[in-house]
Amino acid sequence: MHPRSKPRETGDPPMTHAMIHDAIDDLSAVYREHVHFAWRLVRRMGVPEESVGDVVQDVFLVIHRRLPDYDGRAPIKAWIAGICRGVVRNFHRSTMRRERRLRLVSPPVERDPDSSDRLEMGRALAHALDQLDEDQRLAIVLVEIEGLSPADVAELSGVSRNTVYSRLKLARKKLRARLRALRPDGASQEDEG
Amino acid sequence: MSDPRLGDHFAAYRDTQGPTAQEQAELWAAVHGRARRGELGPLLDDEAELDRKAPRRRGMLVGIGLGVLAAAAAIVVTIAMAEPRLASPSNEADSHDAANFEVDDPPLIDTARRHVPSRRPAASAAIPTPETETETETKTEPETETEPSSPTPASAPMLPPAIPEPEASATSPAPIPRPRRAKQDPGISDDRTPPSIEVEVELLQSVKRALASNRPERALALLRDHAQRFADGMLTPERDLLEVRALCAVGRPARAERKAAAALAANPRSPWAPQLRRGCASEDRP
Repeated sequence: MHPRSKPRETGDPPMTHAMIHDAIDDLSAVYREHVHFAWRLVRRMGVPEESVGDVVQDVFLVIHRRLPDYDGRAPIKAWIAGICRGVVRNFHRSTMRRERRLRLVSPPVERDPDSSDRLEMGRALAHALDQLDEDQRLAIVLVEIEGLSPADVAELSGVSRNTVYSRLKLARKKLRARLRALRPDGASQEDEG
Repeated sequence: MSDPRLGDHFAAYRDTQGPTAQEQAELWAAVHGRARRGELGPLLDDEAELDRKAPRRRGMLVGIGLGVLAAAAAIVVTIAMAEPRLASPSNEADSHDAANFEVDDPPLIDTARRHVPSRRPAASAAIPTPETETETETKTEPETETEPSSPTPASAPMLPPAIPEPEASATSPAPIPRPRRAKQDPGISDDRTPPSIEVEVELLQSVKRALASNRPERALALLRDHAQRFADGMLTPERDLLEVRALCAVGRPARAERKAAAALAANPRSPWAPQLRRGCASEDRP
């Protein structure tokens, strides 16, 4: 979606509340469309499970503030990913003094009891993703799960496309190894090194 | 996807690792409530980068937003419209903020030091459920709200509700309580400014955006909103000058002159007195 779809012409009648409303209306639309994305992404950025909601709140407040500046040239997911990264950095900075930086070990939250197999697959991948280094994790999450292009990730991360492709390749390899290791039928414990 | 097994995991992850319906509803209630209260969210280190990725129209004064946000904390109002300059950073962090100003944009507010507003509710679960509302446009009824009102708690919607009508929400009996901060590291600075200045700043920032994008009527509407909500606001001198400029922009120089005269009479020591005296001639700046 593209926010700010409502025409705002010079000749509009004076608006005050409507301005605020439009802004929140835009926020609402972005929220509906991208809350899952932001939530999943923040969860994979080392934010403890109990703080994910708070961090995502801040993400959407920043989106709310910055939305007028988003012009649609870059995919909105890439734009939101950049905001997620910034908010998570702030979060880590504020917490790292008093607690070690947590790597996510997702507590088993029953989210969809009717599809436990898929839930387990999702959890297993979450666990495997958390073992990746940050750059590889961001690349694989954004490209394979969230559908951004490697070019988008390259721009977001400030690296070349080749670097992103390399990260993706390594991440896939490590994920396969991790997932094999997690399988109950007992593949060999392959370490990522 | 070259590896179907991995692909299955990716799909399963996508489908199962998002927020639950309850989490979505609670999250939206909190976001919506905080947005309506004028909260702006934390200032990010890399917003300058975001700015670069969100290209601006020539002359659009969006860059001031970040500097203004930083200034929202320090509330050091030193204006320099007559002599456009960048904010004067007092440390490295400030210089980052200063970089967010347009070079040709006179800062609305100069900042003494940077502050990152940071608000964290104790836990999302503690946030009340959001309201179920229907959107009602009030575009032709400006200037009736004095402060952002809180939405009405009701049953928890799955998705963001429509935006409440201000008048209706103003009668809401039970506002959403402000989220409380999590326990803070004593080593971390926690000096925050009241949100009112942030809202003031944000409003005037919007005014400048409107002027820069040739929407003076909208700027005037925003200025009226500011005047009503912040009759004695800290940025009244800035509002006066922006109103003069907006009136000039809509082709009402006589009214602009009267406004400038009234502003000068009310506040002869306005930092913008020279600009106010020049009236519409003050437009011819770099």
